[in-house]
Amino acid sequence: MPEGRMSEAALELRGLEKRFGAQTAVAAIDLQVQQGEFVTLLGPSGCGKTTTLNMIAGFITPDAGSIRLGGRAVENLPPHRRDLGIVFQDYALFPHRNAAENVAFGLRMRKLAKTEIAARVADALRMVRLDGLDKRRPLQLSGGQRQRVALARALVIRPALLLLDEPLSNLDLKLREEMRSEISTLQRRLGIATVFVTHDQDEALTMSDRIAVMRQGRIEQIGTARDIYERPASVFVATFIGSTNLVRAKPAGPPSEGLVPLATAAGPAILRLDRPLAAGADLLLAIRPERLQLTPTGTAPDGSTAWPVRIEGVTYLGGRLEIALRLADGSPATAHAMNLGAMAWQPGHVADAWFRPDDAWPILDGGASDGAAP
Amino acid sequence: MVPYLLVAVPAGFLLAFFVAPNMILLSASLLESEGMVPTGVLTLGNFTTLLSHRIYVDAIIRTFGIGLAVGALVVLLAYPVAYVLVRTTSRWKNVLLALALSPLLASVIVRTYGWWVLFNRDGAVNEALQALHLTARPLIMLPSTAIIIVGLTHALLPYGVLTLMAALNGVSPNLERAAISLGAGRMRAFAATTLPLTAPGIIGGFLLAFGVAISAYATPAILGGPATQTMATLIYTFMATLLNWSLGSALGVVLLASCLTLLMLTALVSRRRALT
Repeated sequence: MPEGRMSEAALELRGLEKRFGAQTAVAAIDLQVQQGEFVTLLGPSGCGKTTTLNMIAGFITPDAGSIRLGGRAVENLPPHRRDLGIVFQDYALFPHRNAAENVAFGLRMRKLAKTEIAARVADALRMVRLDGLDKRRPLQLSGGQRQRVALARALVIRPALLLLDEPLSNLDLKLREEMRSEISTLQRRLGIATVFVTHDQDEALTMSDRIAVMRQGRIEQIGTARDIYERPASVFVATFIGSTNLVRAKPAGPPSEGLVPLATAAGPAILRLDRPLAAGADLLLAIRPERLQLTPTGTAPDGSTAWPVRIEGVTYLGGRLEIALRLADGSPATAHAMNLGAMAWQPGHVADAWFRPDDAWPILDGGASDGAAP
Repeated sequence: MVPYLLVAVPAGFLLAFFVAPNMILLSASLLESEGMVPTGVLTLGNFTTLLSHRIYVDAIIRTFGIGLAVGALVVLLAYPVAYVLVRTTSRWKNVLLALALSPLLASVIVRTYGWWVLFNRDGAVNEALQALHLTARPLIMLPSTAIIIVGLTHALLPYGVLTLMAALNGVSPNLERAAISLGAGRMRAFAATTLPLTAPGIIGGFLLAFGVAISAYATPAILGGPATQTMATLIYTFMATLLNWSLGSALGVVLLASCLTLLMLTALVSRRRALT
């Protein structure tokens, strides 16, 4: 069934579970990674993302659920026969072997001919721009070079799936940004399905086709960077990624032409929604600070939501200004404004904060909000 | 001035009570002696006496045999223990560590007599064997070189565990995982990564156990007998029973030279480790 195989997901997790003693590390995770797709597991430490990765790799045995690689069930396959390329957080380069020997290791385990090994190692090192450094030991390489050797070593075996376990967290900021784009470029060029584990939202947003936001062993939301950022499914997702203003709200009438009126603690609001809201639902309205704009009272554009606010403080951040506001009900909010030269807003001013119907997103104020609600 | 003074006191103490008596004692190895009293006559005769009598040569060879066996056994037995202690994520880790090192709390004499109680003619092992009708009469297991090796291995195991734990702590557990992810089986991955990277610890643990074993006195004295003399017990016999200080000193020189050679080997190994 060649047709069927083409459509098989590179990785499919179903109901994957792992407990350590009384603690549930991973609770019933479902995840599909398509061929060529870059999926990030994003979450704070202890959210179960690394445990999930280790179960995929075979280093941890799941308590329940299934793992399929390219359509094949692998729960009973030992880790050395899963054909995965893994880059570890500490790179795990063999310190007593030089760069070329490190890269050759997986090929030697596969008992390839010496000439083929040499050719493929040279190709792999060239791919990560390390040709000429093949005789260096890991300790004689810089952090970025070690990272590249680790990447070459994982990719040279042509794995069906690439697993990256926080590979950038040991690099300094500038190098991290460089490696970020380098890994992305390489991944797209090779078209290799990749699972990337990180706690860094910038890495997740910039590199991923899709992001799975994890919390307490569960996937809280999975979607594109834009989905996750602009349409967060829970308060946790809204606050873990970027910063956001959360305002209590309730539906205030039936929708008309896709626009839904809301009553909020800061004043009435209008949203554009493609789904109806249950009447009387308790909502938290999430508005990103950069979508909340300030204008003199009474000058907000027609059709937008305008709330009266008092300006509490202005923080200068170079390219932009962070403006601390107080809403009508006395709760705090934040707006970001481009630094366009004129310092129009001063503490004590009264103004209107406005946003368009597409610029806010309602989150059901339910069980998912413990600990993260304002 | 103050730093020199700080060093001068202990240095003076060592000179007066360690270096000087040892020099006097060792110088006796090159002197003829009449009874306990070394004469002023220089000679190499003490060394030739030692090396020309079967019983003394046997004791020297036996001592090195014991050292090699104990060193090898300590490393072989301590490695898995150290490996588990370093790699475990169990919350009992510290308890396990304390258990592994607990033999250090009992004196060597007490521990050695423990083995004696187990293995002597009327000991627990013989009683158990006879109760199970595996043997008709008591086995003679004491004194023997084998029991000396058992006793010393037991006494030195905690040191081996500590030495190997230090070595294993320096090796990331991800190295084995990386090797496995690249297609190596568990044993293969261990042999390709952790084993060579802990080689200095293995050599260090072996040398430590070897060095202590060849100079140990209490264990061979308690678990051994006249037929299982080691260098240390023989030195005691020369000094305290035969009252031949010159022969005792000469044997002391042989033992000391072996230990110094070992120290130098250790230094060489650690220097090679520092270079890589």
